[in-house]
Amino acid sequence: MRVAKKQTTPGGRALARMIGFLVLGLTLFGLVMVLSATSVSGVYLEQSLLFQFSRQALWAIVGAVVFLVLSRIDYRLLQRLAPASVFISTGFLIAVLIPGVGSNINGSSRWLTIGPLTIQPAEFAKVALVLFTADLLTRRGKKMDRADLTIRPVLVVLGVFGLLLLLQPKLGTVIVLTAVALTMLFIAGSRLDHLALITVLGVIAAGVLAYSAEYRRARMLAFLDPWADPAGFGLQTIQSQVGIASGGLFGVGLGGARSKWGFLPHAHSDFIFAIVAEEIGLIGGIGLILAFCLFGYLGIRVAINAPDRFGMLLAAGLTSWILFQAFLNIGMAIGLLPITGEPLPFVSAGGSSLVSSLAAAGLLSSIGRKAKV
Amino acid sequence: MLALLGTLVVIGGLFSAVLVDLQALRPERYQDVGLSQRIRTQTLSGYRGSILDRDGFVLATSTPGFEVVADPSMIEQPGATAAVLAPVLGLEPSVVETALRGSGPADRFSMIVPEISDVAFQQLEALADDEAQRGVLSGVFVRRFEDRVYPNGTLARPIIGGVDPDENGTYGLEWQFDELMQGRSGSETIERGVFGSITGGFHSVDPAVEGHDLILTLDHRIQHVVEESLIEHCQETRANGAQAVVSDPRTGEILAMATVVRNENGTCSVPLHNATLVETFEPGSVLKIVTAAAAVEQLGMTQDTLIDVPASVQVGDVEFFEHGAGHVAAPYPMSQIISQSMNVGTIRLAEQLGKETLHDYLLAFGLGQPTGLEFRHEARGRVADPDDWYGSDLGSIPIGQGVTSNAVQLNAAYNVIANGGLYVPPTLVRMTVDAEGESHNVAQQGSRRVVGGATADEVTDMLVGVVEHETGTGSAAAVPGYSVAGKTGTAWKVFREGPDAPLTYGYNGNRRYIVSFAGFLPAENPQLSITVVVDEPQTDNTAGRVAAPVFADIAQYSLRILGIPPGENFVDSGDLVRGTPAPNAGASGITETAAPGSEE
Repeated sequence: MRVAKKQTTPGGRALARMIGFLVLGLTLFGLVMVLSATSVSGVYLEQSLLFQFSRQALWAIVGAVVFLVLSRIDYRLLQRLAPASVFISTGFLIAVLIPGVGSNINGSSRWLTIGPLTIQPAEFAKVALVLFTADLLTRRGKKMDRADLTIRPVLVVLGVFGLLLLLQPKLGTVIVLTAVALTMLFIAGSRLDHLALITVLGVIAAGVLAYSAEYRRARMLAFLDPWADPAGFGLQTIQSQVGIASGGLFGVGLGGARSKWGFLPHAHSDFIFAIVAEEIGLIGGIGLILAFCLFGYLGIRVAINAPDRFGMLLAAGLTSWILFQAFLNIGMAIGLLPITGEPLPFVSAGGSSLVSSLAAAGLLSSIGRKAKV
Repeated sequence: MLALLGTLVVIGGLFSAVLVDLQALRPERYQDVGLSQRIRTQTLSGYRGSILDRDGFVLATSTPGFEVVADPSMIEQPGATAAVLAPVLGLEPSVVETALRGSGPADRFSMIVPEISDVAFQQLEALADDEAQRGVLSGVFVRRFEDRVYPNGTLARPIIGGVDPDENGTYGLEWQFDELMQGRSGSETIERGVFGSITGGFHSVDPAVEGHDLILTLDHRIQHVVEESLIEHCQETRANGAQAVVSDPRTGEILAMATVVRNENGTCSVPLHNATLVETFEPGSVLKIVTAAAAVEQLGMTQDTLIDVPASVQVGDVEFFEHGAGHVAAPYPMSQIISQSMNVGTIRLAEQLGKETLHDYLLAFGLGQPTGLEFRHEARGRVADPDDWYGSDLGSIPIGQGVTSNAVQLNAAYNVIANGGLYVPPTLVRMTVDAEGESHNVAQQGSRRVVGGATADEVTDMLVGVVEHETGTGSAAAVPGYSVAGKTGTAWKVFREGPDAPLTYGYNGNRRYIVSFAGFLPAENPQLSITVVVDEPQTDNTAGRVAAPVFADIAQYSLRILGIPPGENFVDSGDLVRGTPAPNAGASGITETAAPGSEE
């Protein structure tokens, strides 16, 4: 299939531009917040004010290149890479578990060290799953009532990824992947009774999983009652809420958050939202929620107006991924959801998350350029 | 796709609602948690002031120190921590490790070193700043403390008092001026994070105010010789104890104030209590100056006025006898009544004065009144209201029985005569000096006229006779080169013969005595006033042989220390080395005519 540039539409290009500006804004905002959030811990723990910030800035440049490249190429070229991406991701997810290859930090094997870079294969498994599902459900679009041909292969890939991710362990990513897969199946036209059954089974599985591991059970209990263990598993939930509440309407001012003085662990990554809400207040918190809602709205517009089914499914998958992850993160920060450790897309510190989020946005932009708006 | 959009709106709305609740509607509950974990207040303690004598000689002071303590429950590797600490503290690593382990991993407190040197303190500070050692040293703390130091041991301790381990005064001046000397502790409130003081965070300092220094009227040199002299005489006479007050009569400033008591092993030493203010006794004949002064002032008598002195006089239900079997009933000049301490003679004076007048004079001389020193547990003594006097009291009170006084009151009463009739209240604290070096006065009573100057001169002459007249009771108080005015007091003590027995003065052959000598010198220009009290001396029981020599001892030392020149007619006979104490000066060959029991 050959696609010429002229297939883009003026409305589509405008849509793509809006996506570009939105994620550029979010990324730059994230850089500022990462600098703020790490300004204290950096000096205290790393003896460098810019330690985290400079790495994040480098990753942002890498992400920007990825975004620009992906937004310019024809997304349909990627359809052919879908199966390969699954195999490559599976390989990485296995590699990360092998002692000596993967880096074990704090009891979790989540990172692959390649030269000076450490990457999280879990982030790229998200891209792979969306690609694979969009491709599969495009090719079998006429057989959507055949669960064995549509739902089953998706669940197999999800199962393999999920199992490998649980071994890291990284439950949050599994939840995101599952939600994204179900959303794509739903949009692609799978039978609702099948999806309902899968959802019920999924929830039960999640419940079992949550109680199967000691730390997950403790986290779940701490989520239900953080004050039962305010210095232990309840610490992050409480400290995050303390920070957010301290922000009030207009915040304590950029750079002024108290949480980052050692009270809130992972303030720059998992809990960057709390720092935003503390420093910029309710204005900043709701502003950030609205920014992600805007991203969702743009993504949905891209999906609705996508030139083909693959583009539609891909756009829907990417959008739901970013949104689910954002809501999982914000919900955790405001104490509404248990702690899962998924970063806030574009904003949280973390190179792999930033690059994969920008890759998703780039793909979305690429589809948007050809949207029939 | 619309479902996706709907989900988006619902979740976005829900999250926004939670944020509004958390940040706008009910932020306090979480904000309070934040504040309580960030706001830290630490006490800034002001140094406790020092206590100095009149020349700035340090009697009590506080020295800062640093101790090293540990919380064993926080120390993960005692061995590693000990290896870092031991060289700095100059101890064996094994010793430090044992201390770091405390009584076990649950122990929360263990003393490592109770006091470290300044050098070690600086080294520990450097270690604490060293990033690499921070983990190793967590659980080890350096704490500042203050030690109260009394550089001269027991010198003036009954006056100075003491403090508890937290430097709160417990007795003496340390207690009395506790608030002033402690100053005010301040506080520093800072907003702290785990990583340190929060930049731009809340910070307020309520600075500590350092305590005042107390500048006493005491002269440490005189205080020292007084204590030494009392100890020596207390042991020599096997007394229960002894007291002395030395003051400058012109200002009321107390130069020395000492108490010694006998220990079970027979030696005497300085106790913790200041008996000169907290204990009272019936002073006996030493108090006759009040009766004499009143008679001169009120009745226009002089030292030469003749008074009929019979062998005895009946007052109320008690018959008072003039002492000595050889007393001849005849008119005696008033000077002799005083110099020989005649009881009946003195009572005859009192009968003419009446109890109201005598009572008023006693109060005017400061008896039964607070001294104004406000010393802890100060006893003001008892001078009964004339309406409450027993029938015999007009006989006993003029001669110093039936009233009680403390040694400082007695000293102040003699200062009235020394000062030409002016009562100058005693002072012990000259001033206090705050942290800025500003001096502050201590509130005190004003002075007041008690008798006229002529009266005081007349009484002074009689008191000189006590020491200089050949039959005077106080010859042993004489100081070569100086004219001494003073009076002996040999008083009966009330006591119980058994635990349940009634209070009694005993009977002849079974008496207990408290003897005293109060006086001042040079008589023509008094600059030194000394009061000596000896409780139950065993070797002798007359004031003239027990208390007067102590007076002479103290006087000779004090004169030399203060550089008070002798009178014009002093001729150095050469048989006394000036300034050298003459122990028991005059004790040999000089007898007090007052026999025991006759001085009631």
